[in-house]
Amino acid sequence: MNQVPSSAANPFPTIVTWVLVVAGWYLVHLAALSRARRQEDLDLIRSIEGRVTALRDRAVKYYTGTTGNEDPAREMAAGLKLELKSLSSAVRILRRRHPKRYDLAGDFIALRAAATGGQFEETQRRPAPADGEVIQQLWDAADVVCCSLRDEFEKTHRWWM
Amino acid sequence: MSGVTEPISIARDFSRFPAGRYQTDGPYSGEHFRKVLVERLRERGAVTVLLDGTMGYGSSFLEEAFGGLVRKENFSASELHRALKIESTDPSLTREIWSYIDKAKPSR
Repeated sequence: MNQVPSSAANPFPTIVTWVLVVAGWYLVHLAALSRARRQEDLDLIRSIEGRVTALRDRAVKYYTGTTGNEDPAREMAAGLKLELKSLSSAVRILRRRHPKRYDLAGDFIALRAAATGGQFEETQRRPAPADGEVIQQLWDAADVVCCSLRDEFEKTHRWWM
Repeated sequence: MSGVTEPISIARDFSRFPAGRYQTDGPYSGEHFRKVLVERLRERGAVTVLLDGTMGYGSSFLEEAFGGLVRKENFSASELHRALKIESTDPSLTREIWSYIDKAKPSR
């Protein structure tokens, strides 16, 4: 007489195996998804940081430059304004991905004010000293934006997530 | 005061290239725009300002145009919170403007 296989007699171990396989697959899928999101965010943050640094350097050049409201300065001013606008949009992408995170409005206002406030676009604009307060504020504001981005990134993507 | 708030679009009704703080800095300065705003505010009592569509704003333009309402035109911040509506797809821009209004102190 043929013996009935034990799994046919008791299907429970087979079901448990399948449940574990599906759960394992699902966990791996979630982890891969989370890694992909993390990488996307990191790429975007790195690009924003690079652009903030470039904007800071351009603004420093604008303030320390000797040209008044002549064409090159006007062009530079227009470029800075456009870049700030575009940077705000880039941060909004992060906000959309993580609605409760990346609220950098205050930091961006400080950066905008440092880059385009004060004597910005004034006819009477005088070249600022390289170690002056305007330049220091620009460096500080750019640093704060970059640090806040990194902080928010760390909070959004904890190691167990 | 009619109470009708006809919006002012800076890009459409003023300039796509607002720039400069004072009128001596150029034709589309913050000081010039403030005068447009004051006229509307006194005429109609309330104004909606649409910020989208321009090349961008310098903080000096925004501070002079909006902060200047408190510093130079004798409006109070609370009065402006009631009478002024600012719309933009960039929420940080609106926050920036309100921060200038709230921090500004009357010159007299």
